[in-house]
Amino acid sequence: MENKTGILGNPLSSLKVLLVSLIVVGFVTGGNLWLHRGDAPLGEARYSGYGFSIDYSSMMQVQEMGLTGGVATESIGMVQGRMEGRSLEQFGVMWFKPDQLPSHYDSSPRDALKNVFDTIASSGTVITNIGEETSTTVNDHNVIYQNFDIEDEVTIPGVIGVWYCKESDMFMVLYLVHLPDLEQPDLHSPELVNMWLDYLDTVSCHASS
Amino acid sequence: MQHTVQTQTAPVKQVSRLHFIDFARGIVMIIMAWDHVSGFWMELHGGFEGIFPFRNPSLDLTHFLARFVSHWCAPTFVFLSGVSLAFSVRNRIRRGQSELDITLHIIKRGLILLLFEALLVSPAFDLPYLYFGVIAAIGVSLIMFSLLRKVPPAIIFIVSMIIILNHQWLDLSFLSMDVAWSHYLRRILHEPGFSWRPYFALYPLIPWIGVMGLGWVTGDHLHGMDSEKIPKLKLPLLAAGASSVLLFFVVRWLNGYGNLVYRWSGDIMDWLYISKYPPSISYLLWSLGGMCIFLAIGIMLQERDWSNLNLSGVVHTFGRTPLFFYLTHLWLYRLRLPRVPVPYHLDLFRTLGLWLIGLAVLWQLCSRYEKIKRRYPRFLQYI
Repeated sequence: MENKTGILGNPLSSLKVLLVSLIVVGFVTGGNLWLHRGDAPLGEARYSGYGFSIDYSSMMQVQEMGLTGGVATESIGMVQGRMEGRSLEQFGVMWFKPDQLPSHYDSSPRDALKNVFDTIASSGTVITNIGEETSTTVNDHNVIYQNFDIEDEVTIPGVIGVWYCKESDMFMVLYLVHLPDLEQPDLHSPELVNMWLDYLDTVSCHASS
Repeated sequence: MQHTVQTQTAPVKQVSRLHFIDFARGIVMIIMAWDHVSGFWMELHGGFEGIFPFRNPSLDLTHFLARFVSHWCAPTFVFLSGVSLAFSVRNRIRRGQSELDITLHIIKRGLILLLFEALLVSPAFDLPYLYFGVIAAIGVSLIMFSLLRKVPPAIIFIVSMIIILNHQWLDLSFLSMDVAWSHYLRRILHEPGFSWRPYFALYPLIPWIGVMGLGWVTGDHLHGMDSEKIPKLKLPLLAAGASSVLLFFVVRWLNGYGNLVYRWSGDIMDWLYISKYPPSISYLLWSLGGMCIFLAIGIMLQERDWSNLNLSGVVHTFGRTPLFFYLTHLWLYRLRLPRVPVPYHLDLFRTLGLWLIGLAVLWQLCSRYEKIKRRYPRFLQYI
């Protein structure tokens, strides 16, 4: 018969051994929980690239593209996520260097937002009901945001906001459009702004890619 | 006057076979047979929980639950394999077998399981011979335990718990998914899936070897126990089962750590749609919690000496012949040659009928097999 001494020689039923074992297991698991506390929550995925990151539902399809056609570059581009089923939800993050703004605009978030609306309008999309400017913060940067509607076959409500990220020297734009029930397109979610703010909370505009 | 005090210590009656374990295993074999017969013959059958992050919306609650009940099977099967292995090893040591013989016996048993998986199990599911299913996972775990059995139980317990509670963070992305061998390795180790034929796997070693490890530790503990103390396990088992199931609901409600599938809504099916591939903590809480309750019921039956009566006797027979049952039931319920598609689908009630008829046939087969095995124990020791 094996004759072991010390803690490992005792059966697991011994209270001391069980307690030590559970402490070790708890320590390792707790350590892992701590190390992974910044991970995207379950059910969400994290896009990281072009110097920023954002969390979105893992049910969404995400693609990168140029802001005015072509492909995304380090100085200008867009990432768009879309989920369509019974409801429609689409978010987009745009980025561009201040020198990408046409010369008749100031290098201010307000003018950057105006530029975004003009760019969208030039693509033939009709935007109406642009709401009042409101402000909030993300990563200590001041964000101005507004409600708007896209007039397509139906009216699709959205929220868009812009801020200047001084760490990356980039204007960042986040928009969200949402229809809660495609079979009842007149039904608009009163939670739209909160949904947009939830997206904004997950943005890090100068994350490492 | 001198008094002599004599202390008498009652000899410890060590257990060599536990009927309540046969009972719990028998119950899950019966449920597993239901899962497989419905998979073979029913059009609406759930599966691949975890590989698909969302439940199949075409399943109604009845069909969803018809699949959900099968979640008790694989973890109980793997856990009790660990218990049986510990018993087998301790019994062999007691009989005076050499360490080398024991090690070789376990390795041979593991290799035979791998062979069975490739030649009998995979074709029954129309899967490639490289498919890594539950029998292969047990086979490889057995081979690993031929050496791990030397490690102190406390270490096996700690490592098993760490595997189960932490595997969700395992990152194997350093292994390329575009190269055949590393793709297969990732599938076998931790990332079940079937995107590249023939490198299919559903039961990755991590964390299943952890479940077997917990079974090994439990078996090691039970083997050293006085058989008269077995009935006292009933209440702790019931308490462990009930608290596991309760904890399952807490983990699902929190919808974060311990889940590998997000609970998308408050719908009962979303609550119960949990990751089996690979098994999440919530899945193991539910299934191993249920196993504890089955074990407690088994002890109750053992106490009342109902083990050999009627239905209970049938369950025990299945529990004593698990591998024979497993290999036989697949082909019995499949009822067609490999690669032959199902000629028509059965509805739920007809499938239930087929299941019950199959169980009656299996009972006869398993009873006869048991008698033959008693006659030729050496020849049939691996089945």
